[in-house]
Amino acid sequence: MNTSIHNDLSKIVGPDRVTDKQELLEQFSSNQEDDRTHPSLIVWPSSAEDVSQIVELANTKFFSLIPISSGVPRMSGTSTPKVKGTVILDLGRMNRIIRVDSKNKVAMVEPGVTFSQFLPELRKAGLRPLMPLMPKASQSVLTSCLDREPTTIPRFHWDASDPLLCTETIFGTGEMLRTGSASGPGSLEEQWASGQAQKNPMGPSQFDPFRLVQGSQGTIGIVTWITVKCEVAPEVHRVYLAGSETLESLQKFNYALLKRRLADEHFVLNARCLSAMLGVDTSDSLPVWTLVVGLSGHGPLAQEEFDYRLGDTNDIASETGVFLETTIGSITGDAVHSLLNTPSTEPYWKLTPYGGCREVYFTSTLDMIPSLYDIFLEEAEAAGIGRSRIGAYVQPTVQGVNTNCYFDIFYNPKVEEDIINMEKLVAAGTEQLMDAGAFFSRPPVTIRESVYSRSSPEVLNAMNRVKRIFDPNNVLSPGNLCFEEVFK
Amino acid sequence: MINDKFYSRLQDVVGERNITRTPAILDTYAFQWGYEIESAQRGDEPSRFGQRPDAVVLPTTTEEVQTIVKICNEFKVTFKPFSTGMGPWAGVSEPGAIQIDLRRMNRIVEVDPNNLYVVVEPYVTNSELQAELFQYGLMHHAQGAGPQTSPLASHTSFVGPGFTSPYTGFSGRNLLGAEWVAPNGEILRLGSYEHTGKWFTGDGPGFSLRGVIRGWMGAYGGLGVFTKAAIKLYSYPAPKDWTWNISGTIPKYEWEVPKYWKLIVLNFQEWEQYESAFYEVSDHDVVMMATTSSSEGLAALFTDTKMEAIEVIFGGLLARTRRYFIVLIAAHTEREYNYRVKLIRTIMKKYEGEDLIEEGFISPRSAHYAETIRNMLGGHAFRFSNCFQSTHGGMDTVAMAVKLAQVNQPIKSKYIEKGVIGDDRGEGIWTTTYEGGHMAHLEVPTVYDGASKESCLGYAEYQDECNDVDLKQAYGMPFFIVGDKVHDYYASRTMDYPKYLRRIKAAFDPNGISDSSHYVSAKNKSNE
Ligand SMILES: Cc1cc2nc3c(=O)[nH]c(=O)nc-3n(C[C@H](O)[C@H](O)[C@H](O)COP(=O)(O)OP(=O)(O)OC[C@H]3O[C@@H](n4cnc5c(N)ncnc54)[C@H](O)[C@@H]3O)c2cc1C
Repeated sequence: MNTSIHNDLSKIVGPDRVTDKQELLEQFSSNQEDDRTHPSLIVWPSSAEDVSQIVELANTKFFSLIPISSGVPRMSGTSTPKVKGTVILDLGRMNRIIRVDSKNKVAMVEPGVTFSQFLPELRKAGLRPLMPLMPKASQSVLTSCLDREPTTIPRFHWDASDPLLCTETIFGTGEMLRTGSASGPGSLEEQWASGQAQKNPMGPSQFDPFRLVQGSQGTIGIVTWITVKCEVAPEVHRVYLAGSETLESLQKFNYALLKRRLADEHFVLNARCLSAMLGVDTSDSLPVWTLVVGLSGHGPLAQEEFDYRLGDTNDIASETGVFLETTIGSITGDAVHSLLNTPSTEPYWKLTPYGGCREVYFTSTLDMIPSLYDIFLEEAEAAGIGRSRIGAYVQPTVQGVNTNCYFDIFYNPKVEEDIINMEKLVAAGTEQLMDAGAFFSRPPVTIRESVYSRSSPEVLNAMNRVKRIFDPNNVLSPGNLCFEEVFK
Repeated sequence: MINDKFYSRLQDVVGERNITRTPAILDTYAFQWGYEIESAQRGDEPSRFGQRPDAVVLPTTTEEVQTIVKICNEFKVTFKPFSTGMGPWAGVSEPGAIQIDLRRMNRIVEVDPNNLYVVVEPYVTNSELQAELFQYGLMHHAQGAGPQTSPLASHTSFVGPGFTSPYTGFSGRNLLGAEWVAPNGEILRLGSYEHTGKWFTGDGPGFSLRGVIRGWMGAYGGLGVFTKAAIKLYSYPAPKDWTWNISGTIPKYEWEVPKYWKLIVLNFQEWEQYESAFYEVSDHDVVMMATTSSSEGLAALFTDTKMEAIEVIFGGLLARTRRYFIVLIAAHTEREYNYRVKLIRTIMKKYEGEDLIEEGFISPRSAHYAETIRNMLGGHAFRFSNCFQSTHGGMDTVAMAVKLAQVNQPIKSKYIEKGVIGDDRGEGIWTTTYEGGHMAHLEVPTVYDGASKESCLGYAEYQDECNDVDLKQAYGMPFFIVGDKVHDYYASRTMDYPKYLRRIKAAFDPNGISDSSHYVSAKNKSNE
């Protein structure tokens, strides 16, 4: 069966764009003993047309596909096959930045475009990205958007879906739809001629297919380009810091500031996380928590804008007992500034302290985070990981309505016991966090069962109905989300 | 006709007092603004009466709604829900259907002033919700339809621009979560609620079921009943000690304008300057409102009577107005206010504009500030005739809106010349931006005479022509591309999206009982 699929795929993409080389296949496999986790082939399409034909082939020959766009390291387990004979659809070679439109503050990118490739192009156009905190350099811009990864500037984050706008999607049926205003009327060229820039993510019409593809971990459709919101690059931009022993003492300030849409970057890190980010081993001398607040100004009154934002922010700070500074100990706001709106250097910063890192991330509200953090630290101690190895990153999102939180477990992947303890912590910690009100809105494969066991049968049933509409043969990423594997 | 058994089953659910089939009452549900246009577009005699429902039922809990929907499934009776019920899309479309009137579900369930969301039931009105939220220094996005309409209806089911859109966005983007009685009678709660008991997000785990329920336009009641909505909130820019103070009497009210508020009308000579300034102002996220109309429209917005408006128009406004947009600066602090005013003036100068208020051509009074925040300005459109409706509606960029305004002008003028719609020289439009200028939409409010057959038919023809232009020249999808026939007319140039919508309808409404007239039916009715 393998050879015939191999031949069919070669016919679609050309023989040099399909491989069954073991050393390449192995990087996707999580467990050498379990042959279900071995992909059978990797294929590199070069166009949406290729993708559509491959998906159609998967439907007739009954093999499953896992789309991937980013390079290593792969941390979520989403791209590990769960059924035999899986074909990896590597979109990394579709890496064109199709369009950067500074007037309309938008870019159109293919799946293989990484942050390191994207940012210089934006800069040239006078734009800045809305992007996560220090992603790995090989991170695809498109998958970051599809995964609803939190971005660092809450005031530009209007909806949980931001900064994702329109998409071109090939569903599991092989059908192609452009979502949002990109669907039409008219071709993209006609839309450009009428002044459009694929800015409205909603629709077409009376449904929002982009919301079904986003967060679906490759189970609904394969996205061949997206448009992504950008902002005008500021002329003045500075970062301020505030140290604190507790998260609670920052609460009033955070809430008041978020409401006003004054700040750019706005998040809180614990000492473990901040020192890993900065690549320094000074976590002892850092405050327990560091608040990061970026302020900026742009346009004809850039400096005046900055001054007003700073003035009002400082007023809020003094009313709420917070003191913003440009330096805390040996850490400067400028040093933190240099890490914003840029990808991590190699190796990925989360891997530098101990070689390994497992992220536990969820959505909640700011007032909930202190107790959730305490719970997780206690579990860390119980699991033998130790409190000092837990990084925390608290990122307000949706203009302050909710908060995305990452608890990073730093561990040594070469030490068996460390791995066992880490996994113990993930399992127990996740349950404890959920009991205490954390919402795992983007559950990685490793915890999907415990998360979806808390969803009602009605919601699961609805999700399955959606799946049957867009991927009736379950060819896309089986075993992700709440959908079961097939072809066992 | 529905049968007695069905009726008595419903009566068992809500009690005798909360159900009726008295014709006089049923007729009040069949009388709606806009029916005269829908009937004309179908090729029928224009009529303000639509289909009379066979019964009206008034549930008071989600469980009652669920039971009603299940009974409808059992008896294969179609239903149409509505919240405050304004417009032809709120009524039933076929004989033998019932109306689910949600007016008894009128609670503000929860306000979370820190985490900036509120949970409301269907019959909470924008005005009630504002009254509650102002106490916390907060506001919500209220659709432009006015203070008496339902934020739940708008957020869950129906389009959603408003006068404060530059500051508060679009209804569909502000929906955090919802409680939904699907057409098969299942109750679904989207997002965080069923995992945490809190409504702070409607997305996940996994993909977001918001993708099924609403889209850009909303399902217009064609996909079940929403019984709760969690809605995002925004800071209300007024000093802490400010209170809602109104004095005087109709039409000359006085209102205590919050300290750092200011209306400016930026008037430019050419579209090019207008467009650049509109982009730049929107990008800076400094205004509560940014909108355009004609000079007639401007006069209507900021006067209180028809006579007063006419005096203003011919007192110089008509001659002076070129390409303008109105902004409302609403700042929290003096510093914010000073920066914003200076920025607006700087941009105005850069593109050689002037402020029509400062120049004395129009003088908004304090009550007009209140009407802005209350979304009552739209109602002023009724002043020149008893009816208005909008054509176009496509939403993407400012540049598209500006082009569309120019493309529309000669088309509208043609119908003005025929004498079937109000004369604004084809200049009357309504546009607003969203989310720091990331999006804009343009619609063309048009007044007609709802009592005149000729005028209704004429307006309907104008709307059809606009729809055709948008389709052929790629100006986005207009607001009222709903229902089988119209969806199919748009399908070939929009990647055949109706086929997916039909699959959703089939999957979630297997018996086809949630009125599909303004949504889609699972089977392609327009081909039958
Ligand atoms: C002067 C004027 C200005 C207007 N300006 C705007 C504007 O700026 N922006 C805008 O969006 N619209 C505007 N409109 C159109 C009008 O908004 C809509 O008719 C109004 O928002 C909806 O009316 P409603 O709130 O009473 O909702 P309803 O009439 O109750 O409902 C609207 C639709 O949603 C469905 N629905 C309502 N509640 C539920 C529910 N609980 N479950 C399921 N389905 C439900 C109904 O069946 C109906 O199809 C304007 C109308 C007028 C007359």
